[in-house]
Amino acid sequence: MKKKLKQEVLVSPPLKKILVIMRLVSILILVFTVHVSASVYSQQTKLSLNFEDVTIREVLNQIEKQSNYKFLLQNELLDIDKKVSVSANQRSIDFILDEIFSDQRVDYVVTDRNLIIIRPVSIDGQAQQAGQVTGQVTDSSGAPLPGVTVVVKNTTRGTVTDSNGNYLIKEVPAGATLVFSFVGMKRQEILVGNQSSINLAMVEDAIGIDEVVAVGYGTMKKNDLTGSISSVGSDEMQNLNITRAEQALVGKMPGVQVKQVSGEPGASPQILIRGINSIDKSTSPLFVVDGHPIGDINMINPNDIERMDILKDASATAIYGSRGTNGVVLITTKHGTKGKNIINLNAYAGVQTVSKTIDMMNSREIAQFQYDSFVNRNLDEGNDISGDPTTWRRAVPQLILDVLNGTHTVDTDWQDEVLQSSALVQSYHLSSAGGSEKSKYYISGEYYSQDGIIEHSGFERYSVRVSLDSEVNDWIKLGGTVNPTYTYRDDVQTSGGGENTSTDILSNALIAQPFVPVYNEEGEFTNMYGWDGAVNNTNPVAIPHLITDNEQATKILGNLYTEILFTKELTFKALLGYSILNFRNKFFRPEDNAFQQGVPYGSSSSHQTLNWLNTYTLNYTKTFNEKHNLNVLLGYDVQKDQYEDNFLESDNYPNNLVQTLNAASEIDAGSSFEQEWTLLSYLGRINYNYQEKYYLTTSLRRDGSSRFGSDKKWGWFPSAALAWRVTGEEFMQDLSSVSNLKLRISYGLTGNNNIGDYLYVPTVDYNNYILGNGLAAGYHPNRIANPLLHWEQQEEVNFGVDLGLFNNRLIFSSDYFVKKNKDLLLNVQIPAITGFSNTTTNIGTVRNKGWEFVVNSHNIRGQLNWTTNFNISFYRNEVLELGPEGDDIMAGAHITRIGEPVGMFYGWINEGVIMNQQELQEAPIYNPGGSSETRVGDLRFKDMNDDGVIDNDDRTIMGNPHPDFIYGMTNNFTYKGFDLEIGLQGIYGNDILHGMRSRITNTRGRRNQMAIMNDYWKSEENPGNGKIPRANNNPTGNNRGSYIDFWLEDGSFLRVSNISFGYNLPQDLVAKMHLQKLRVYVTAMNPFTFTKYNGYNPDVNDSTSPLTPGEDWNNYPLLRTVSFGINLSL
Amino acid sequence: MIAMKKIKFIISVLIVLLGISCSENFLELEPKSNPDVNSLYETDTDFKLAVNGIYSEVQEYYRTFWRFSELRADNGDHLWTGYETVQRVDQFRMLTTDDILSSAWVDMYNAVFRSNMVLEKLETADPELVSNLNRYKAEAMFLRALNYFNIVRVWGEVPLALNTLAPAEALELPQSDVNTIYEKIIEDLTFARQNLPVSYSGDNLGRATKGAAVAILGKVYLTLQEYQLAENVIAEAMGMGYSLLPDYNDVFDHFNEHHAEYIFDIEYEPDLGGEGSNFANEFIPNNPEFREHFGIIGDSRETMSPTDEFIGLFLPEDERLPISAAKGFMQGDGSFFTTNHSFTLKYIASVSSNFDSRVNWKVTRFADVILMYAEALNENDKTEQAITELNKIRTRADVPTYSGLSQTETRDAIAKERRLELAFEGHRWFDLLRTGKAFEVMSAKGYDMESYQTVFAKPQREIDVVNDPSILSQNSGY
Repeated sequence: MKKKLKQEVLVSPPLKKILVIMRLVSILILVFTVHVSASVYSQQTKLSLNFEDVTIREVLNQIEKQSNYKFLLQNELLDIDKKVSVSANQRSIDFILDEIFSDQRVDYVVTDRNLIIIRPVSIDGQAQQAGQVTGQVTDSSGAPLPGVTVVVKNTTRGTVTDSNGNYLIKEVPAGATLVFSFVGMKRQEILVGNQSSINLAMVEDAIGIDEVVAVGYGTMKKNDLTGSISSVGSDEMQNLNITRAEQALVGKMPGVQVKQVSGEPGASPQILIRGINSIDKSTSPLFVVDGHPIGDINMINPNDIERMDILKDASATAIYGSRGTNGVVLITTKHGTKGKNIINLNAYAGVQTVSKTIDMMNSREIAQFQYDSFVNRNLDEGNDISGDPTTWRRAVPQLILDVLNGTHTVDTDWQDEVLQSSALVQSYHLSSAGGSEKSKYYISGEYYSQDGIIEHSGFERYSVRVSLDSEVNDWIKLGGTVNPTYTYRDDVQTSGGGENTSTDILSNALIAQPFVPVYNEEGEFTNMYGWDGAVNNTNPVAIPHLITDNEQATKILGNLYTEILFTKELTFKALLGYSILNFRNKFFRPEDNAFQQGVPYGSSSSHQTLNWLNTYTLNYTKTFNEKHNLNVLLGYDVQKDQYEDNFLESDNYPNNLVQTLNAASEIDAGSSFEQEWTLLSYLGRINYNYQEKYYLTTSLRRDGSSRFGSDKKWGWFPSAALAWRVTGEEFMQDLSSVSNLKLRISYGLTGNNNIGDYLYVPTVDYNNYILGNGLAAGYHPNRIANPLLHWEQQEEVNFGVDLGLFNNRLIFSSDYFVKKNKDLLLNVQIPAITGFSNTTTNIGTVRNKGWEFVVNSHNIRGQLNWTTNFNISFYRNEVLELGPEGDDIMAGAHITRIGEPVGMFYGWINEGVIMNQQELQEAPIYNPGGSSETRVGDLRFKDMNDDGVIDNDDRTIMGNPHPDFIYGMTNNFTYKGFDLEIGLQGIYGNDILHGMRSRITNTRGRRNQMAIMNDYWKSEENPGNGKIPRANNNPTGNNRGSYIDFWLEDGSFLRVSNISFGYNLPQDLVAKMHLQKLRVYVTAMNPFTFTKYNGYNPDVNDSTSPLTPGEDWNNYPLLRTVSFGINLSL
Repeated sequence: MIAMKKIKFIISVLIVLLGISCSENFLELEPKSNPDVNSLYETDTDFKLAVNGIYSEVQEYYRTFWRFSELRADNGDHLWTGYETVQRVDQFRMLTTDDILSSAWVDMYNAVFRSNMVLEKLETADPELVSNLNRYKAEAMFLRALNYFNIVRVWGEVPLALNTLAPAEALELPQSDVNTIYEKIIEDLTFARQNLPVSYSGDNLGRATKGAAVAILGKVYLTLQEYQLAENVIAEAMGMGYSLLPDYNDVFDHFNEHHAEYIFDIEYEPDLGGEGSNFANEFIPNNPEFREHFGIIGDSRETMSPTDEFIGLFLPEDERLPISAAKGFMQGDGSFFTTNHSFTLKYIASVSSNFDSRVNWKVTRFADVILMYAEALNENDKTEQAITELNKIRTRADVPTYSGLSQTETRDAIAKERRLELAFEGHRWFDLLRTGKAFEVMSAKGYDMESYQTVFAKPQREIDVVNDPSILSQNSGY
């Protein structure tokens, strides 16, 4: 209680009375032992000041206005009326304090709520005789805190508190500073002075209150945000062994769905921010790396990322104008900091295993199934089935009979053949960071290597990053980054249907019959063509072994910038960003017994993207009347992107010896292609707040793009947001349990310019005719002029509330949004007498509504710390307009229809198997009178129009690919030096079209079938489980109609996305090793998934088109990885 | 000093800034790999290539145009159950929503559009630059006329687009009556007849000639039953140097398609990335032995199988019979392999990849012109002269010549001869329409045809898009 009272006293003094209060407090501090609740000294807060010949008092007052800092002078002997001059731009507080107290010997301690206590170093300024210091460390509730590290600053001497929280350090020189640190608590530095006893209450590291977040063309205190932004910092990322930055977002924040659709090494996840914002165009967010919007972030090594801030609502994204609709991911990379020269090594190696395989039939089972399928077909056709089955009209293949009678015993587990038992992953990242007063550096190098679980698949990355920041003089800052990356990816094709000559490995492995051997008698890969009782396919084991398929990429990303201080308030920044991405792909399929194609085939292709950006911004920051805090940003932005590709192929190789095209006698086809886009923008933003209580943010961007039609070259993208920090009001001061309450409302317009290049231009295409018996070139207009074509537009309103309770021990945040995506590009039918049958028009509208919730809680603190972060998001998507007639858009198994979400599953709904003759008489019949008429043992389909017949009119919306909600939870535990993180991620309520089931549950048996098919209807007496129809070599009764809900499965899942367990070696031990930090850890990525889904990975989406969501065609299975690593600093 | 430095620096930065923002056309990017229409149609080469672009679209739709011109009629039937929409063409069961209708409409009007584009651009072209201006104009007009002739024979009253149309204009353009369309066809063909060269050589071989314009114009007049005009026009073609090949079999030598009898073909060649034709695969029976024997890789569609009735029309000695229809072939060992269906050999050529043969489509050849001439003469009461012309065809086929027939008998004889001579070459259905016998003949042979089915249904898609019967209405009966 004592302490609490004191805190309130410390915090409340109105600014003007500070000096009066100061004296009182000084006495209090003298009376009570130093019991300060300290806060982490915020490195991120930067101040700009410029004074000539003013008193220190005035400077401090000014700092209090500009920031959250408040000052407390511990000793009246300090001369704060002394006149000083200070000039600082974007400087940390300690820099400024050093400056103004440069000739007074003072020390300062930053405490909780940014209170800074300033006090003189002992009067005579000399180190007094060394003595011992003892004391007790408690948590904020007063309970003793064991395990706290206490060291004498700038030495390696220190200790750890015992089980009662007591410590003792000998030979502490007077004037020394003790550093108290404990995981999950704010680090505190206490000046010893002449005290011999220092008791201290540690305070939990309140989550995110002083955090500075990137907001696009600038940064802001998280406290001052008006929009909806979620962030991940490097601390949180270090517990994840990830290949790509996006993976750090899995399950970590609301409104951000990261789908790890493929386990292929180097594969990119799909990201969706706040639902589906388009019908036919990209829904991928904009990635901005250190101010440079780029398309591909694969070259960014996650270890080099300082933080990622995800802008979600339109007030946050509108500053990115025509690219803001799908959300913006701002990536801030690591830079050096003054004074701290650190070398850091993070190394790990791990083992990956396949997380799931699909249960398939074995030889005997599929042979029996196929035998029955022939019996049924013959019965359906009225054929005699007495006698030798090989003589039936629809003859059972001899091979099937041989399997059944045991003379053919081959039983290949094809999945086992193509999937290895384990694969290695390893990563080494070495970085060095630091700097002097004037210049800072960050240098890192990385090697990453991941083998695939399918042989001959893998990914390697070598990257280097060098970043320099330098202050040329007091008004010019210069800096730059260069980040070259080389990647090598050994590709295999996995997703697809897998038939005939296709080379998708998993699909071929699933349909492959188990009675076919991998190798023939000569030891060559079996050619899987022409086998009795089997569909033609390509030997899936041969594919990765024989086919060369790889991609090499060289990527250079970098920037240069300069900052000029015109005045203390006004700064100018110029940024030049550039990226060069170069890809080379090679493919070679040799001539081999395994492949049906008789001749070798090879191709070589490359593509390159050059992208550069110039951004110029003017930033003005000023506080008026000590109450009005204003920040104005003006900017000009110009960006250009150039893409080109080349492709060559041939099947005229003499043999398999040389794989490059020089060996081919003739090139069959070659092409090259170029395209480019430009973007020119003007932008402005005003951030204003009144006494940090009432906030207004408004921004405006004007974008001109080469992609927009000649009559719609420019678009305006405005936004506005208001926030009210209720806890800033007087009446809230008594409500001490509410530490933060903020209400937010925002509105904004953004665009989606992913509409393709030149879409409005009436271009020509090339085509040929034959003249003189040879090729004659020609061309024709292939697109109609469309001068009105423009970006897709989004209008969004967002309501938010942030609540912090019990000194932010419990933080709750919620957002509700309504987005209207209009002017969506759709093809509109036009009369063909124009020469075209459709033209792309801005015509569709979709509405998204959603709720997002976050709870951060510090459940237990003390020796054991436990924090929980939980988030959950709900979205509803509805199509409002679709073209002039509002016609449905059909796309395979999907329908997009007004009043429904985009891309619903459309087809026939089955109601189980027709078990007997009586049920058949009552059932609606497919193709009555025809050969494929419904019979007993077939699926019964729902008769939507009750006409007794199953036909196209009985198709309906049969499933929903969109989840009811997505959620994630991260739990962190620390105990002494141990730390444990468990991350969960989940989706609930969506359906998946398990596309391969159209083949591996299609009842024919010519492809292997899933093991669940063993429960098929065999007879009225032996009807199976009532869900699986009969085997039939020529399926009847719409059993393989496209598309039926028999192939839909529940896609809900809960995944333990990561478990990370680490141990920080004790400080004294580490110090003896001349290290600053040594952590050893073990991390498991994707260790467990709980789902009813039968496919490899429920978090699947075969296509990125919003029209066809939620299909699974057996992508590369997600891998479970367990790795061991060390993280050391020196 | 510092202030001066700052000012200098700021000024230099501003200069850099302005330098970058000054590029006015920064947002006006010309498509790099597909040029803007407006940057073409200037030079002679531009127009040559643009005209080739029209041919290319005609080449495209002629791959399947035989469904309208031949499959609909009584020479052959579609026997492959796997391709129901095509079968419906043969059996008069088409739905207005069938893709076959809409894709033909789209392709044919696209070819018209390409002609209109060329003609429009030629109006403002610089004759100094475009040395072959008149020829290009004549070619574009010939192709536009050919397309409209095909369109009007398939659908009857349709919109007559004579210039390029914006979507809004297209929605307002009402369909024209058949006579108006024919007037325009005649106008175009007349210009083509006057301005096209008699023949081409080298790289231009295959373009539309004066002879082609004359032959099509003659057919237009025949269709309009303007027999005197027809006779006059066709008479010109008779004296242009065309002649019948001595051997009927040589007409279908796909390695020498520009022979003395050739007038106008749609050209195809294999192994050039999609320039081959599909007829070799489409018109053959589905027997692996057959494909192997003739060296035809890939699918066979058996979409056109000669009927027994048609085969029965031939005299046994008719040299045209073995190439027009067969029921099998002699294998290497001397045994006869009977195929599951009869087939025509007119389009047999070895094919190294699916649907990529060298076989041209003969739009018109000299035998067609001779028979048209005979028809015009007979209708103009010059029966004897007509029989003389008809007998040229009979003689070449090595069958007995006619003599002493009445005008009516001659009319029937010519119709029958056209059927025997030109079977599966895209004439039969239009001949039936032209002579007003389609309903009578098809019904008599058991086809389930309704009298309104002399025109096809307009594609439902077009009706729906226009959504205004006063602009575009469905043909009656559908």
